[in-house]
Amino acid sequence: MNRSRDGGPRDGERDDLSARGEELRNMFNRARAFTEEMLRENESLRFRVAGLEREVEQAAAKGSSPAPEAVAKLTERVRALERERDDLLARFRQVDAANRDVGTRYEDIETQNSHLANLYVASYQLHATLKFSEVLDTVREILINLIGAEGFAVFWVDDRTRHLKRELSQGMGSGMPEKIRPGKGPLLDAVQGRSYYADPIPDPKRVDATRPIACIPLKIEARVIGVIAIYRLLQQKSRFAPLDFELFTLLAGHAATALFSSKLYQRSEKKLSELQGFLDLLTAPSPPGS
Amino acid sequence: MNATTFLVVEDSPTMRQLLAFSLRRLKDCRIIEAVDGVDALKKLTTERVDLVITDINMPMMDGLKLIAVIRANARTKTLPIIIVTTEGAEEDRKRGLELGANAYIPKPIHPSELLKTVASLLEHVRS
Repeated sequence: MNRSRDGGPRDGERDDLSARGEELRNMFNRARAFTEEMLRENESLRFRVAGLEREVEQAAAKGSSPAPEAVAKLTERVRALERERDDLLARFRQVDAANRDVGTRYEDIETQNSHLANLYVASYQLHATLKFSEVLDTVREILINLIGAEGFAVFWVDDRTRHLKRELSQGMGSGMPEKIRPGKGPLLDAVQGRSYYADPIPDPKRVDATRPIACIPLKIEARVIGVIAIYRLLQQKSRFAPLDFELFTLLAGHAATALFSSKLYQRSEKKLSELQGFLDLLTAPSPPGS
Repeated sequence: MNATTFLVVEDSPTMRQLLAFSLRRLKDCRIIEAVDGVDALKKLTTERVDLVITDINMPMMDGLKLIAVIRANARTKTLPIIIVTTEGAEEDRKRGLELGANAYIPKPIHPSELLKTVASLLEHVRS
């Protein structure tokens, strides 16, 4: 450092020191202003903290005094809502059960409607004609279309010998004899007035004319006039359905009546034409010259 | 609204009556009956039909030929067709559907099943 002769600073050095002092003073002033600002900020924050602490205390004080009543009210409300929910659930279960019941009854009614439709049509068609062959055709249609039989036969019971005479055979090829003497088994049961249904249904490949899977006697009162024997069902049908048994019952009575009356009508028509021919012969004027 | 017209093609009078009886449960319906394919084609030329229900095994013209003719005709090619038949074999079902039938119901039929199928097809056509 340059110094004057008396040991004091020279002029240049004095200026430099003065500038640095000024700089330091400015720095000090800025630090003081910053410090004052920080103190103010600190004071403000302390007030804010104190205020918040008061607010917290007040909130806590407010919260504690009415809580039991509010809680009680809310608890009661919750219980009421739970009761209401339980009531609604119970009513929902009742309505749901009623719905299921209605659904089941609707299905039952639908099934009954289907059954009645089938029975009505079968009955109507059976009595729609007095021609024996047409009644037989109707029996055939009922067995195929309504019951789903693929192989079957209709027999007439010979009053004298009690043998079965074939009137109709379907889907049996040449394996169905013209006459069958019912030995033991379903055919004899049917001739004696008892129905027979196999359950489960045996293998459809083994068909025996004397071993049908279902046998229905055609009865007029207690008299058996014929037998319907089913040997095989359609491929898509694996067993008899409840409707089939109703149709068998209908066939046992209505088919018997229709077949018997048509046979009688056919005989009476034949006799009538014979008598008419005889009468015509008796009443005819004698040929000239006789 | 016009009544829905069904053409029932079936050689068995019993089955025709049962189908007609079942279909009459639908509201506003008209049923035309035909005894075989030829009779059905005659009726199709003179009547407006909304849905055909046909058997397969019939005299004169069977159900499969009838379906082929219906599908080949511009006026009837989109007509919904249901096959109702005793033929339960898978190949018969396939053949009927390949020829253009929309549904297949094996006999013996359940009227409720028939009505469901009919309703579903008519809804599909009208949507």
